[in-house]
Amino acid sequence: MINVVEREMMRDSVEAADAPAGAWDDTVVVVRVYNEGLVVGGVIAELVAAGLTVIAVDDASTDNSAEEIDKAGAFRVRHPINLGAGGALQTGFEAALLLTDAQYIACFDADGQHQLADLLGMIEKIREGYDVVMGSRFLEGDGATQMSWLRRVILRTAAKLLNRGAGTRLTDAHNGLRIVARHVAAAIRLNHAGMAYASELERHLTQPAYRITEYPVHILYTDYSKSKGQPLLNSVNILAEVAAHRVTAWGGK
Amino acid sequence: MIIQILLVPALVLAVVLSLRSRASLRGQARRKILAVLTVVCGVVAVLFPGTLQAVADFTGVTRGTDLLLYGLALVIIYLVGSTSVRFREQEARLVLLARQVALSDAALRSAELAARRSSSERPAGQAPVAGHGAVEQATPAR
Repeated sequence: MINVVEREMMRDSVEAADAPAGAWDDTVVVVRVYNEGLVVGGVIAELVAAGLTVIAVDDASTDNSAEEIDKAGAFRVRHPINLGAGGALQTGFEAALLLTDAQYIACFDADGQHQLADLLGMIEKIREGYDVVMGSRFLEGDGATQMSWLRRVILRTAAKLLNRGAGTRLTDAHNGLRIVARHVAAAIRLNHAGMAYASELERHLTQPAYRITEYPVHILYTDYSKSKGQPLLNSVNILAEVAAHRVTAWGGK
Repeated sequence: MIIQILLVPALVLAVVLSLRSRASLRGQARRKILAVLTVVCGVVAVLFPGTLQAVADFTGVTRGTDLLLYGLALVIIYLVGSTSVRFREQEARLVLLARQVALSDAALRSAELAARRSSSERPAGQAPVAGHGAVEQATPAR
């Protein structure tokens, strides 16, 4: 109990020092966690220290992720079984809608490859009246993000190939850093399991009814995130899953 | 060769139909008809081994067994496709169930926390969003 009190005092002082009180009150950050015990504590603590509300969806982790989440000061939603990336994100959106009255809901990766500064910039961007702000690694030419040429080629091709809902063209595909307005989140229904959810989500978010824009972000490919991240070959899985879903859903509804 | 004209569309059809097979009544009925037809064909092929060869000769396949092999291949392809669809539907249901469990649990803890906070002398009137940081402090790690 003592260190609970201590922690609270610590956080209070951090908040008081760091920001005009409640500067980011209108945003809740959804962090999907699956066996990220090594780094998730630091990532969430940084968000909380900045004054953001964090909902961490623990996707049935088998390591100490749950403790780390609790220690860092996020509200934890625990899946009884592993549901995959898309499943966890959908849970995060629904939890954010159910438990908070935040105006904006952001997605942030637990493995430390996203930058807090980018997120804050995106929040300021969406406050200008957008419905959706997507992070993009390629918005300013090739951007600051370091990645192999193969990954770059695949991502850029995917961005062009993936059938967007008419109108909007994005420069990046499968970027985990995004923020949506509340009414947009309420309309999201992710069905794809695994990583193919990102194509599904992008398809939904780029429909012409939404005001969407991109924001240049800098992804840090650390050794850790690389080891946890998707192998390039997984793009084959994603493509196959998207194709199979299209055949199944095509025509009927 | 007639068999080529038959096999290529059959292959495409097997993939597409299997991915589009649903647990609908119509789909179930179709599968049952297919099962009955398979049994009938099997019985005929066993009782009159010549018929298989005759059909093979007609379609331009050398042996009756080869024709059977082609048929089997198509059936397997259809099965793989429809099974994967079935699995996906099952998985989707499971996802909904698991999410419901997770959310109701979260809602419960959130409500508990709000109750605890209002009963103790904590500063009240916090917006729910701002108040969330404290939720986990009142909830022991499980």
